[in-house]
Amino acid sequence: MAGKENELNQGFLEEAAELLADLETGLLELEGSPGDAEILNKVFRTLHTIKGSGGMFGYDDIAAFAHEVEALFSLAREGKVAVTPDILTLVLNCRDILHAMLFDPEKALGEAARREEAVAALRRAAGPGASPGGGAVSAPPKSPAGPGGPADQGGPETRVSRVYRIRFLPGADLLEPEALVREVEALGECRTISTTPPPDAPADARPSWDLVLTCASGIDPIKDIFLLAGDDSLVDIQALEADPETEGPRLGQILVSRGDVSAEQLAQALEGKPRIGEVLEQEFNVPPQAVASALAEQEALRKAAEQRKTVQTMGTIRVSEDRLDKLVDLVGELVILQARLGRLAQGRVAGDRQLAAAAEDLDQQFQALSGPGKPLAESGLDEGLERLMELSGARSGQDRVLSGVSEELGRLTDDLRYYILEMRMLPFGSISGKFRRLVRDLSAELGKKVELTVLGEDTELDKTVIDKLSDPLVHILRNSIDHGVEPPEERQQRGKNPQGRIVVQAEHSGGDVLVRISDDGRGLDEARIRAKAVEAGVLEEGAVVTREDVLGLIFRPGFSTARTVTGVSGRGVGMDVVKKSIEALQGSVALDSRPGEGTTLTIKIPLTLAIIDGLQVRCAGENYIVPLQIVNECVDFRANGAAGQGSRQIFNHRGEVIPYVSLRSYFRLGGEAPDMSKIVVADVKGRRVGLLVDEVVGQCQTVIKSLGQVYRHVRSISGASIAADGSVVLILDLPYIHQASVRHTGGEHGDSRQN
Amino acid sequence: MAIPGRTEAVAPESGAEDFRPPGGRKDEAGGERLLFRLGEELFSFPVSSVREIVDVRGITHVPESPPFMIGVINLRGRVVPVVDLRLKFGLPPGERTPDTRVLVAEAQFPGEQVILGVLVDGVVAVDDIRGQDLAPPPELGAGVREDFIEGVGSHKEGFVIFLHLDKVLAYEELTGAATA
Repeated sequence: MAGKENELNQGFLEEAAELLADLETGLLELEGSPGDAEILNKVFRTLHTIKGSGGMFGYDDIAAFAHEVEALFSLAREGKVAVTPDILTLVLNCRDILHAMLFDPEKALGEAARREEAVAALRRAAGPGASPGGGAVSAPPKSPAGPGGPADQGGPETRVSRVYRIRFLPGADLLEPEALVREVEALGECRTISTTPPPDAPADARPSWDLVLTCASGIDPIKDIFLLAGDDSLVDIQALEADPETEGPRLGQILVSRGDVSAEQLAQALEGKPRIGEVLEQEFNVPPQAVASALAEQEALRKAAEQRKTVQTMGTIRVSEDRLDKLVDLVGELVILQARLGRLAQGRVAGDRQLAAAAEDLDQQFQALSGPGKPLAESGLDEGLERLMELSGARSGQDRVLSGVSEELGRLTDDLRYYILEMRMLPFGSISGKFRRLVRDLSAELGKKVELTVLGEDTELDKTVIDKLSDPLVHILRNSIDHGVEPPEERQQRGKNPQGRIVVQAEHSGGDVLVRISDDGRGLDEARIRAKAVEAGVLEEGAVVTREDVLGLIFRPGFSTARTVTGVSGRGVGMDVVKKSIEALQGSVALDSRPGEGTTLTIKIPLTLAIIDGLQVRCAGENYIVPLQIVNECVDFRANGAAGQGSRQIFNHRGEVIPYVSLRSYFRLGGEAPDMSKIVVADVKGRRVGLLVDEVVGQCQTVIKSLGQVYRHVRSISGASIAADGSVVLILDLPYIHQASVRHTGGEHGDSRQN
Repeated sequence: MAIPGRTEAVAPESGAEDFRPPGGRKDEAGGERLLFRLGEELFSFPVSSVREIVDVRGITHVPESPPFMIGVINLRGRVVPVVDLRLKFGLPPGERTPDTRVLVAEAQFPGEQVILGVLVDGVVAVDDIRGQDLAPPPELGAGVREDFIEGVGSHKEGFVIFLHLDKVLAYEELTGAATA
């Protein structure tokens, strides 16, 4: 079953990607607090998992390589190797190698030497500490606890010990269970409580053991011992979290967790006992405020711990993106279907009203003609009429129910859509790990000191937006570090903190997300940009331009003011790409820079790309959508016989001259424009521009779909959507259309690819 | 050549409603083929590459694209591009008749599998016919480029031109990157 295997493999790769991301985060955290045992443990566990699952899925080389890294961290955890920035760099490098091995095998093949080098470096770093009995490289070895300590090489006290709770009920066939227990006892410090069966128990009853083992060798050796216990023995091994910050669980809690005492029994036993605080207050004259304060602290600690716990245990399911997309598609369909049902129901209700009115009319006419002696008396029509009225009443009753059902369906569909879109939301923090790494590596490379602060990591964005936001942000950060933040000496000269500061902040603002990247570097050099612009022929010498406009020039393609081209940036690819990709996300970039104080870029993007508010327009019988976000107003337009040729023209709107594009001639749709048409005035790159269409249909919420690869070359269309009648409607890329029509002034545009 | 009873099992001509061909992938020049008409001539695709057959409804024209890319349809919420095979083959445009269908086919593009609609004049049958690796007689397949043709088979309705689906629906072909 190759398919199955593939799926498993895919699962492993997904898991591995996450693990590697965790590893990176952990390593970077470690940089901030090198001695933190918790982070060290986390990193170690991550490495261990990579090794384990790698081996399980047949990635032996990955398992072997991860093992080398793990070995180093095992020593670090024991305090035998100090976690220096150099070691972190080495291990980060190893992480990259692992990443390449998993996701870019070709590249990894070419990097065999790099891998060997890394392994050698790892072994060097592990140093003599790696060999048994060797002295520790750093970490002050405390005096050993004295003889009789656990049989372990090196200083046992420096190892991270863990507590394991083992419950062992040997199976009937197991000979000498005591031997196993003794083996376990030999692993470390162990308290053993054996329960022999009561005298009146059946003859085949076996004793059982509860062991509490404190050892540093990990859970595996314990498991290994019990491998011999056989299938019908009951073995339960649990690693207990010994949180160094708290005094550990209480006796009662332990008893409850072992299932020896029920929670109720514990509560009963504790009831009526004075609290320790009360005892202290009464017996030792401890001031009640002190006790109250201590209690508050206890409460706070408990809450924090609980919160951590909930975060950890929040249930998650891994769902592939495809499935979510499918779900979004289906809900989109449902929305459309519901809209159709709604229209049908409305139509029926309106029809019912007319029907009732018609029946009423008929009845009145009949009454007028059916009195005694009138022509229609005795005609029997009255019965027919009565029946008609009845039917009409019944019908309108049913249709009221129908429209009720339709409304209810509408509400459900809205909810459904909301929750499904919410499922696609990811926190901004999911990409910020990447930034930390970038800042770390790049600042080291450039000999700068940069501190990165990421704020608003829990701000949620649609997965597609997040994915597409990552690259532009990396570009911007590169620029900030390379051009913005000065070298430490220069900063010092200017009286700044030698360490530069970059803040990335994400926050919600209405239906948009704002991402702000600010540095406290030298700011943009207006004079230099101006000079460069003049040199490039973009700007005329001595032209009067606002500072804002000059700074805006950095978004032009091929514009770079970096004096030297570094491997990092300065090749003039960058800001224009950033701007383009943000605009492709229906977003915008704003720039603010003060000389000597720093630069702030503010990116504004919609929360989700899946749905936008659109304005539906019609032209030559075809429907199109303009993103409502950029629409200012719709203006009546009377075709003027004297209008110029081509798709791009200008019109005068309340004294303002606005250039506009006629969609009909731009797309060469043919047909005659109606006498009265509309111009949609929109904001494109800070300028008001118009789009001449036949008719404005109205606003709509629309689910954006891609046109796919076949139409990748079609730049004037940014996507498609499904209209309420089930037809596909194209979404216009107005900024591009305007740009293109400027280029092809005279209306050279159209099916240009025809030949 | 034709296995009797095969045709009855699945959509015959004007089998109107959507149908999904049975599973079983046989991609060799032979095996189960979906026969369709362009004008008077019979062509075929491997059945395994055709997902379903739908009636023609609301095709939205996409500007700035080659003329044989006649637009996109909504296939249960999915936007599917449609190729007019007549125009792709340089035949005169056909009239839409009640028999006109869109074959929804899978094609391999660089890096991904895509779903494409193929507009044909009518679906004839699904049949198990053997193709011969022969150039078609000159009177057949007029205007169809040779490299699109995989072979010729014979069916009770006449000669059938076996088309290379992956070549006809190749990315370069459809985006106009190649000369049509």
